[in-house]
Amino acid sequence: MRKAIDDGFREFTQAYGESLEAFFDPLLTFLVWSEKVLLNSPWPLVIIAIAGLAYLGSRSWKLVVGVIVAFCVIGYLGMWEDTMSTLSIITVCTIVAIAIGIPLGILMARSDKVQAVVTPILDIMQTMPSFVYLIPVVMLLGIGKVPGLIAVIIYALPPIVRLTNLGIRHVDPDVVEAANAYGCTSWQKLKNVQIPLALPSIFAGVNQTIMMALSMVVIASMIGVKGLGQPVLKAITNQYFSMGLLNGLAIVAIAIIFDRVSQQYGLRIQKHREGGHGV
Amino acid sequence: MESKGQPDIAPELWANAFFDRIDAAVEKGDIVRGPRLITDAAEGWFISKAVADAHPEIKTVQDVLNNPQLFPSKEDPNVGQFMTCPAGWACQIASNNLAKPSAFDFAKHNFTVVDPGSAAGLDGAIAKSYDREEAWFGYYWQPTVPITKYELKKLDFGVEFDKEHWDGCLVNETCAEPKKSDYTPSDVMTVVVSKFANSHPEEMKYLNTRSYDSNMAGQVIVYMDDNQANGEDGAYFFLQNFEDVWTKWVPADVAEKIKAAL
Repeated sequence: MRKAIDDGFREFTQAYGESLEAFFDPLLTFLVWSEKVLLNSPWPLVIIAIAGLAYLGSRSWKLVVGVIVAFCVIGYLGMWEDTMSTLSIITVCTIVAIAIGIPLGILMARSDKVQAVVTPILDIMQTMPSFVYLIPVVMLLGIGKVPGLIAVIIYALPPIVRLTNLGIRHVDPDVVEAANAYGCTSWQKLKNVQIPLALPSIFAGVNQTIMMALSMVVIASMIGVKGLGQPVLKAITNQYFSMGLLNGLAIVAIAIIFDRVSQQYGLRIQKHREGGHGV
Repeated sequence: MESKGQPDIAPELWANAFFDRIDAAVEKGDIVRGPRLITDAAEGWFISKAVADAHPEIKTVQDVLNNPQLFPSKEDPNVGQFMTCPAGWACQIASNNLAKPSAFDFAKHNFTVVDPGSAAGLDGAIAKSYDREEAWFGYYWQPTVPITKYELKKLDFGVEFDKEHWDGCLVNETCAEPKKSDYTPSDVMTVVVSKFANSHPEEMKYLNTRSYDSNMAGQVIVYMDDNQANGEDGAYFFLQNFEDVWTKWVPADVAEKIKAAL
């Protein structure tokens, strides 16, 4: 039985591996491009850009100063290139996870059937030990960025789906009823009532997705993803305590920046919405 | 073994990492070392079967380096790809040093070094290249399941092994100017505690004649891998299929007894 599955999988890779690889090619191009942009731009420019984005997102000078200091320290300690690789793959992962996760969460919230199907799949994605699906992915797509990206997304996607679903389902039924009474179309109701009211929960999901994506950086580097994970692996196998700690802290720094910016942004658009509705 | 005299026998010791300790213990008379157990155990750089079949003229590392277009990197098809030893392994230091400009100069030949991240990543990449008949060029060691199962071809480094330079520089991360050298030969040996060796001359005769090559060892471990077999099954497979190997290790009467028992 085990052998049959293994052989079946082998045949599948032989038959479809190439077309699957071609399917993911645009993603790879995008990943390579984003990494090149980050790596080839002069470092002050990258820091200014990131600080600018942080300001746009959060409108907080404290955070901007924090970003600049964190990246200067990272550069000073010689982790710039790895940090940029990690930053690029995490950014793409987060975007993809949000692009898939929020619509899926909305779909789940609107249909109990979808929820019944998707929930167990999410459970599998979160609990299955990563290496179980990493190796088949490597056999299919080789090592490198795309398999790493897929592994990270598999792990990081569930929280945003779950929390979007939860947020929308927990919108006060009275409010939804009121929206219905005003004759809102389904789309208007979703866009103007349910999503705005579910935003705190959705942003908690975004936050969890980013955190989980970053925690997968080390695992992803085990299938050849460049970035901060590789020095961590090196440190683990050779007991280089300081090297592991520094690179680990760089991952933490990226995580905190991503999180604070996205949370502040979330708070800001909620204030705006609330004000607009006169609540 | 050297301090406690236990266990009596280390049947297959990959000695490269602890030559100092072994030499010291042999000198002190604590242990006795046997001959090379696996005659051609080696680390090195290999290429996949598909590319070896299509381009039989590629025999040395230099041949590979002259043809980066045959080993295109997924991320940049204009660059050739060398898959090094996984992050944190000792072999990564030597392999990466050999890739530097003062040695094989990968940069000039338009080759990039890719870190597979883990043994599983490395094995997976090799398995993929075999299943899909793609080119692969990278680090591995023999005897192992992938070498035999995926029929990897070992490349000749085209230069002699320079022991002094290897031990003094290539194995250090700080090696300032790595030079070309063949990979260090892997010494796989049997090591026996002296007390046991002195009191068991018959057994020592067997241990001192026992040796085999990577190809044979590879066939046994591939059999075990394919059938998810345990050590005992592997031993039976070996005894049944490689009679001409093991009958030379034991006296004729013992060989007869073993054959009768199979």
